[in-house]
Amino acid sequence: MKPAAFEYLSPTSIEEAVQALTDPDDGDTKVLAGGQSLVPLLSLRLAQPARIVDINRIPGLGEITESGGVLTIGTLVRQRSAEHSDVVRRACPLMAEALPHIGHTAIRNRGTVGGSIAHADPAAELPTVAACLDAELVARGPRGERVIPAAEFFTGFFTTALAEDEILTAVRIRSAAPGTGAAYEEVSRRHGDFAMAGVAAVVRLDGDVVAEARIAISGVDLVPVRAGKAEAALVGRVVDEPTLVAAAEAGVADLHPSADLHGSAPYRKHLAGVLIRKAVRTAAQRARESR
Amino acid sequence: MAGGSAISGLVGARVHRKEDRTILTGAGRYVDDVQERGMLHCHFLRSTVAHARITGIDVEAARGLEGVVRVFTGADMSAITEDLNFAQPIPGLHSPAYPAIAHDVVRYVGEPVALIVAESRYLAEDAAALIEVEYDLLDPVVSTTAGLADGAPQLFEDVPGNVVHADEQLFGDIEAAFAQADHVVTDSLDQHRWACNPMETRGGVATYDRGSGQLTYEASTQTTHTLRFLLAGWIRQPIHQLRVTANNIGGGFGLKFSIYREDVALCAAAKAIGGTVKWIEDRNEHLVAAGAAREEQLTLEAAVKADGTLLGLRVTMLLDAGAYPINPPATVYAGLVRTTLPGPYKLPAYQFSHKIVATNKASYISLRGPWAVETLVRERLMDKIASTCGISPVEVRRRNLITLDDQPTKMVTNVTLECVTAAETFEKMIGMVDLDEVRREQEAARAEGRLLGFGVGTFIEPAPGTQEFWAAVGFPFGAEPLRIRIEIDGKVTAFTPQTPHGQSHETTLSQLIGDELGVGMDDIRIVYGDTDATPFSMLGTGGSRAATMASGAAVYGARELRTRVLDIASHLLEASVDDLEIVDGIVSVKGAPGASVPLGQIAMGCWLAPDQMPEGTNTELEYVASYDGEGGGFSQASHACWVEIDQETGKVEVTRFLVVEDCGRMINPAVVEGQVVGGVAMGLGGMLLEHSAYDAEGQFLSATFMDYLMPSAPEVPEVEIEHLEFESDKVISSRGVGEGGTVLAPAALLNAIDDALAQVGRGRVMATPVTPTRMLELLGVIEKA
Repeated sequence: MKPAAFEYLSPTSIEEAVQALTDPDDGDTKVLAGGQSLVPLLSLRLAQPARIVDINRIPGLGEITESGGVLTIGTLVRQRSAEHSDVVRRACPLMAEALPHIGHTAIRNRGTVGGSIAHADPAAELPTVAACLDAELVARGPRGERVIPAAEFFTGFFTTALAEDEILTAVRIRSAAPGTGAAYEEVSRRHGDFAMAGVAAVVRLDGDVVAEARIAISGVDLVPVRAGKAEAALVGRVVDEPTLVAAAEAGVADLHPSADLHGSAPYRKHLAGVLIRKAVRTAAQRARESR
Repeated sequence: MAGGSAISGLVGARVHRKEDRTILTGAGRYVDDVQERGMLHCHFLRSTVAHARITGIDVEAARGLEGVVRVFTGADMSAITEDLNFAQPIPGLHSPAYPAIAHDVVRYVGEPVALIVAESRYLAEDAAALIEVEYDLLDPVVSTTAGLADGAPQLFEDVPGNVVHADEQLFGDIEAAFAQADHVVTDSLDQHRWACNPMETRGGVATYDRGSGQLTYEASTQTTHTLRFLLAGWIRQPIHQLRVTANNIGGGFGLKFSIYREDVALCAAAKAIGGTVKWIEDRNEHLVAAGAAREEQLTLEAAVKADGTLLGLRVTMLLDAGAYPINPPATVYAGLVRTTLPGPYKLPAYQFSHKIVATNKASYISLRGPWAVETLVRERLMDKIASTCGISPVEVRRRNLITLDDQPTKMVTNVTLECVTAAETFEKMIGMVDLDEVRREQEAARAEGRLLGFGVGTFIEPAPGTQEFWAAVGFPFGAEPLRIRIEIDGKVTAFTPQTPHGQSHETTLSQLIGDELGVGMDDIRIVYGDTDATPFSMLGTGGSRAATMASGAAVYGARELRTRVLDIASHLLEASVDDLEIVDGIVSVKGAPGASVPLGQIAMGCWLAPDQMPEGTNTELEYVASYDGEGGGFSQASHACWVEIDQETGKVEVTRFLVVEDCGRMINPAVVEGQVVGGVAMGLGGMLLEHSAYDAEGQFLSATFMDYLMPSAPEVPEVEIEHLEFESDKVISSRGVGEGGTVLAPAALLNAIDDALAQVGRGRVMATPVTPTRMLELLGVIEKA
């Protein structure tokens, strides 16, 4: 479990980093942020890039700001910092709920918000949060900056819309509106393991009726899945048990999860339904309490 | 302790572990801490397929890589080593010999096919990537049933039908038992493969001294002397020129009881190169290749009377041995299961048959209570008998358990039970549980849609067992030696063949010696893990022997030296031996502290001027004691387990776990409790989380800790422990306690889960591990995939 040899670069500006990704143009370069996924892959030689571009020394990528109703989280913000950020808790309670589910404290101390999203593990929490909230992913490449909507960002199993010469620099999320409640529910074999399935849910109430519902599911497909049918089953309704059951059924109807050692396909599908009910129930409760 | 020992209060106290300062401050010396000048690093290229003929191997590119010192193919290695041969004169045992590195056929994913020695582990792994192996694929055998099927692929020419060993043994009149039965209760269990996973993996550092021709192997092993003895022949090294050492060992759990092909290859490589080579197994190869345990399928058929009384038992076992035999032979595992299975119950008639089957998997190895499946299936069967007869799990045990009043008695497997208190631990445990309250809580929970379960179990363990027991198993029960010396300044050094790797022997043996000799813990050193220094024993640390056997050797050794010292002191102080005591290293006349002589002064006289010591005294202050175990004995315990099952997620939470154990006189209760908690954690983890899984092609699926799930702190309940310290009249009435938690906890857990399932009208667990998926399948919530 020793990595194969690679060239290590540690640029101190984003321009330099992009340059390092661009040249040589062999597509055999990996960006190192917190290293919580990449380093094990290197050690197992499942990833054998020719070059590692360590972005940790680039200033300005580790800020959390909120302005004009938009929360911006720099790509290098450590998951533990985001977890403890009052700004994140207020502007994006869903992310604050999701973060403690990531691994263990030691992992979150190093792991970054941007790194998890760019790694795009479909069982991971932050890609699911991004999908749920239609986050905007800000990328920087040789042609400048571009903004990728979450719905277009996750393109497949551990793959994203980021070009090989682009670096994710920030995540932008619209600040939570008043009357909104959020919940993140997941089940893993052990504390800190990747979830067999997880559900991110955000509910905005108008009176007792759901004005807006956002639901995303982890661990059941190649990418985090937005449960559009479940969302539709909630909007305009009061959140009661029959509605929750109907939403859960709608939410899992089209799922075809794969099986592994930790959960069969029927298990994961069932679990997604259970977690939709739990997460939406809690989110609606929090929405009511927030008024 | 009976028998007139001189207690000064260390034995029985929660003395702080001597080992902790070293280990907790990072000052330990584990294999990967070893750094020698010019040391080279080893990496094994391993088979990526389960069963194939090797038709070609090209190592030229690897040999040409800068920094690579040697590359050994299977053929290269076989030219300088003998095949590993664990065959023993056991009737019907087919134990094929095999090379250190495969050169013709590979038989499991992870089997070594080349050894690369390089200036760094990085370079060695780079070189491995350059080696091309051509495999001509053969059909793999991935289960016992597949291996036994007509026309199944044959793993070895000399293992016909893939049957390593088959046997059937009858005890008592089994036909009569079934003829008298009111009920015949059947059961079965398919246990999955799980593993030892010590914190420190396998590994060692081999140094060949070109000057002296001596080879030193510093290994992570449970048994230095056996390793040396077997290694010598296989690497063609004269045994007197071979020294095996072990320093700190990061756990073993049975795995490190054997010698492995990697040991042989590593030492042969050091000899061929004429230098120092190190190999430490990484976690990935450990999970894949080190071997795993517990893969057994059992069926049971019990003849019982209407009141639940056991009349007879028929048991069959299929044991998935993996591909290659290790030490001990698989017949020992089968013998242990067979002999122990009747446990602490009255059983008049018994039939046990087994088949040990070779499959394309890593070796079946020892794991903390290797016989444990006997307790698991028996305790589950007792619950099933209870439900068949309409009595409670407590009542069925009460009606069948052997109590102290029944003893001495003989198990149906011809093993005498004496001082066995399983029934007493069970009664004590039941006395601590309000059974009515348990049922009320379950009903209240069900009314809220929650599902609770409660299960119990009881057992005995051969810790160390008896002469009769081991004769029935077919394994030697040797005496235990210990060499002890009072040094020139009165400090004490003791040399044990034990190789402690978590058992706290440095502490417990010091407590025993300290009490006998009247010296403090810090004035005693326990030397272990050096075949140049310690007396010979085939066994090392394993089989829960030390608490009885090593303790006995320490006590007898210390007593002999005490006798010699007091004899000398009685002359010097002109007092009767009976009036002398040794306290804090001072020999004095009881009640007259002025009349005293330091132990160090006597020792100095004995070592420097023995001819000036009192005439007729024995001035030899070094002695090799040997302890035969006084017949040995058993440990016992009863466990109770409370679970809550989430009917939506299938997760099983152990909400309470109670242990009432009896390992006789406790040398150190803190050590005992540590062993119990660790054992229970391992047993629960084995049933709920850990799985050395293979797919249908024999590919290994649990190759990292993301897939092989060890229980972590949040998954392990607080274990409540109650001691029942029954002491026999033997000099040593301490019994082993390291394995029992792992043996019994799975039974109590599965009984608790089955109890919960029964409340909602569902069937029992028939196969493990009990994953959330399996749980929801059992609950009928999801269909079986």
